[in-house]
Amino acid sequence: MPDRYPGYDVLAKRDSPSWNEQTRRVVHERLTLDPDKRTFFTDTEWPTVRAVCARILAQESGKAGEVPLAAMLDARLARDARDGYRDSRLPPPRDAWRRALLALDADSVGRHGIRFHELAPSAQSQLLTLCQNGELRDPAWGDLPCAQFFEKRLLHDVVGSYYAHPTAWSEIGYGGPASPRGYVRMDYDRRDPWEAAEAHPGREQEAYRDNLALAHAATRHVGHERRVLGSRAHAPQDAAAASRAIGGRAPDVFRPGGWVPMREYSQDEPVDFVIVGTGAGGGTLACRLAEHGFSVVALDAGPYWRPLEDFASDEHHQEKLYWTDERIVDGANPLQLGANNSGKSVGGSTVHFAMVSLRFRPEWFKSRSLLGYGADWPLDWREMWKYYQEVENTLKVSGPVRYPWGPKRPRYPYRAHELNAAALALAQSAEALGIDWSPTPLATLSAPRGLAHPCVYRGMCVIGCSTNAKQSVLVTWLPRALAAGAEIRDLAMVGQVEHDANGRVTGVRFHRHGSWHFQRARNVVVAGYSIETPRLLLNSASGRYPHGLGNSSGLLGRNLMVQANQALWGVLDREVRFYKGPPSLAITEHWNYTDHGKDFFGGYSYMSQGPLPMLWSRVMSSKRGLWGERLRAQMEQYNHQVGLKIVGELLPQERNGVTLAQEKDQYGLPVARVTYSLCDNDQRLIRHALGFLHRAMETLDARDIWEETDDTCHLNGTARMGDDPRTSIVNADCRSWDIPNLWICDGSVFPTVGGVNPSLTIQAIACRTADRIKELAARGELV
Amino acid sequence: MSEHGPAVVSTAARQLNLGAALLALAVLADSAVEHYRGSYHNRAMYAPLASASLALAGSVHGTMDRRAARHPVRDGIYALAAATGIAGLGFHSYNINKRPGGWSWLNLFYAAPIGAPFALTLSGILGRGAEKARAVGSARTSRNRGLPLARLIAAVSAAGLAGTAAEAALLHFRGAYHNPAMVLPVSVPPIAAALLGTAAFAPGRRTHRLARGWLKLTAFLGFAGVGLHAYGVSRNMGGWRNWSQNVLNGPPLPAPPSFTGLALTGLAALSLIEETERVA
Repeated sequence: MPDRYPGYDVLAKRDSPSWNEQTRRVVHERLTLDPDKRTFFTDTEWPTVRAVCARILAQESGKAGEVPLAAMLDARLARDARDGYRDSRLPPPRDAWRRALLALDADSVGRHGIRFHELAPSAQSQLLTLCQNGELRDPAWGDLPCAQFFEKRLLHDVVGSYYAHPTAWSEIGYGGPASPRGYVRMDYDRRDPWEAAEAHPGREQEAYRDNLALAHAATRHVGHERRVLGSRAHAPQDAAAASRAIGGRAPDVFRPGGWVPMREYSQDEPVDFVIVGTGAGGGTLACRLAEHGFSVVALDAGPYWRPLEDFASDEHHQEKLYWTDERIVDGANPLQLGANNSGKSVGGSTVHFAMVSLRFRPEWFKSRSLLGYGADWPLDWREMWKYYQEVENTLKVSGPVRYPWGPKRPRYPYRAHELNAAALALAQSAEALGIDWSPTPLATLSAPRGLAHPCVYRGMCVIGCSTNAKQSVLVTWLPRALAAGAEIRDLAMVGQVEHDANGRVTGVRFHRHGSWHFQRARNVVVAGYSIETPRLLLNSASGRYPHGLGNSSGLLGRNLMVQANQALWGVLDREVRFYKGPPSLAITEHWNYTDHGKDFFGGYSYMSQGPLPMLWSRVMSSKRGLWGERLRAQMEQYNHQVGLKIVGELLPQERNGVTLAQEKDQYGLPVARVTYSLCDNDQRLIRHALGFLHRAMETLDARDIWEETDDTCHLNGTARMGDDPRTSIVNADCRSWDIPNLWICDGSVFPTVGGVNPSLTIQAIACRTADRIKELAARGELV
Repeated sequence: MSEHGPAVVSTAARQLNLGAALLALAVLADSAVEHYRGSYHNRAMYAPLASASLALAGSVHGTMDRRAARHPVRDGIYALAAATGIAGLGFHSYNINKRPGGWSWLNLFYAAPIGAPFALTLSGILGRGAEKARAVGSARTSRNRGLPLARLIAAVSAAGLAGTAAEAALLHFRGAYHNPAMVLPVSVPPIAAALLGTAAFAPGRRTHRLARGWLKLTAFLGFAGVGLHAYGVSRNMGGWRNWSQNVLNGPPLPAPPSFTGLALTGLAALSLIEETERVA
């Protein structure tokens, strides 16, 4: 295959402003990994692993920059890295690999009389194809389904490792690390001088010259920084290894190495509120309650990051933001969890959310009465409109001057961002189809704000923003919460909510600094999101509450809702380079606000897309089934790829939900089992959406069109709010019907999900809850 | 009649050249940076650089030229600058119009800036005004095709100030007026423009004094604005160390001096008006 980006080497930019120190450090580790190093695989397994890796992505051996795939895989398994979910049909990663390698060899010996690594490459590929198709039958496979292993384990791990390497980035013309310097030129066929030049037929020399010039310019830049390369001298203390929010201070998220004072409360004296979780629900509530004068301790299982110094421009490294503790998934449509819908950080998943900040369609708050499906909310949209505005102002949401859908809303506090080519494609197709589109309201700054910088369009939003442009809970509500006297405890995993003989909750048992503690509190707020919230309340079952706390309705953990996240992908002749800019810069809510022409209940929006190489390669391999040269060829089109992806409303069903599994996690707590199956209405919505996306894609003259049919996003439900204690867990104030000093404040209280991202609504509910608690306290109704 | 007449006209004409020079300089620097950002994907994007360079050279020459006579080459250069600016308006309008959304806020913010090319036209018109003033001054007549030349220059300067303030208003709106100083260019120059306009058509020494004061403040603001924009660049991620991105994405450094240029031509126009009235 001819070199599409001749002479381009992403590493040439290592000493330029495109790379910061933390990125140099983490990539350096990857580059210096000994390809023969192994601590997990055995002598017997090693040649098989190497042979498998070589078939999935062949490399010229001994060539400079060879990706040490087997060693990367070994390192991953040596630290027993998990994905955040595990298909109930598969054992944990280490067991899966051990058993599969053994079985693969057994199949090879059975068919050819020699081991897998001794086979000719073509025979190896044939065997792997059989594995992919589920046609390997050697008894050594036992109950391990070879097709699932190949798709969800083998391709996921091997391909993900390859596209986490700079050699792969150079191959596909990806810009690579981009902080502090991001990108400027966002339009079609435009590249910044520090981006790869693509060879056009007959003009290969031109691209080669440009790519060499890029390398030359980069090495002239700040050469003195080279000496810190690989040095650990300036590495900040690892936020995940030891608590930072201790000793009367918490990290200052706006200054490298900085601190802000933090009030601390005794564990023995009851505080007014202990809050479990500091994400969109808990973090917002902690701030507003502290500002209302209550004493607040908020606990989070995740680390307390300083984005400016802790976040590298690197997908692989930034997996540290995700909730990768194991959860078992089953049902007809097992969910993928961890990365795109769960976070383990102070600030919760807002630290890596895509910043899409949309209001619900007003009718959705009464979807049962007005639209005939789902359940009514006990909230009035006009009141929510007021709280939406409060949140939008707090996040300085960048949005259009006029929003095309729904009732009038005030102008967004900051202006919309410039569109990248991927968003322009959505806009063009919407205009060709005659429907409205809009720049997406995003919680990332389009102008400076305090110490936070505006967005630099580095496109790494879902792996954590090292610019601080992203207005996550970590950099908005939590600094205010600290200033108002709240205490935040990082790396504090709550295991149980306890109660007294009267049935009122008394506080939470939590794990921190290697041991269990108990924080007394007059009120407990659970804000762990739709899996951890029911998990904690179910795990707090007692003689008095045998089915878990607040569960007299029996609905705790039920009605889990995700959102449909299907997409249509295509390739344009023009360069798109969708790694630049926030991934979802343009949106249409047409099918959220149009009710005719639908054969399903609910609605969906769709947005432009910009997945980074590691994620994209996993989609192309695990979901599309590509590997070997076909995968390489597809990945070389990375810079021409466009995508339209929906956020679709799926209906609440009691059969979908969270229960406790037999397996225990590292704290000794039972892990969550998450069961999910789509219903007929969900399937109809998805078919409608994909059909419409095909029409949109046709207007763009895209080729190589591919449907991604099985993705989901966001988590909601499992502790729904309502007007009736028999059919809901909490009331409109997020207060448990059963236990008056127990509250739930996160996405789990949603009775329905709508076709928009939920974070803005979660924060609006938290603001409302804080105001309601203040009112109730003033009336003496809190006790 | 006083011997000061020709001297006043010469000084005012050179000041007009200076104002035109500043405008041309602003356009040259601004279009160089912005069209570099646009990767010079259309060859026409070099035109304002060439035309503004000529206008700048001609204006500098004029600034040093004490002769009371129109210079035909300079005059031609200015005519070219004015025409280039008009052509630029056409190109920029086309660019806005062809993008999804058409004449939307988003495209007014981020597509080719609609007001920018007009600064080159202003440089051309006001530069031609300088040449005309020289010719008129030497001929000792005060009429230009029935319109008093000085008042015309004042009106053009006032309109230019208002237009430039409108452009600042649009782009500072894009920046959500996140810094209170961003209100300055949308409040001071419009007042100066209004006073200049009043002074041009409603004679009276008091308005002249007021107009002069506000124009001087505007001129100062144009200089100070560069400093504020330099600070703005430093507020972006990586600050000046990341200049290769932030000079392009931050507030435009060359934009504020347009105010200084227009304030100078406004002041020159006031001198000419006073001289015309004195002669009459």
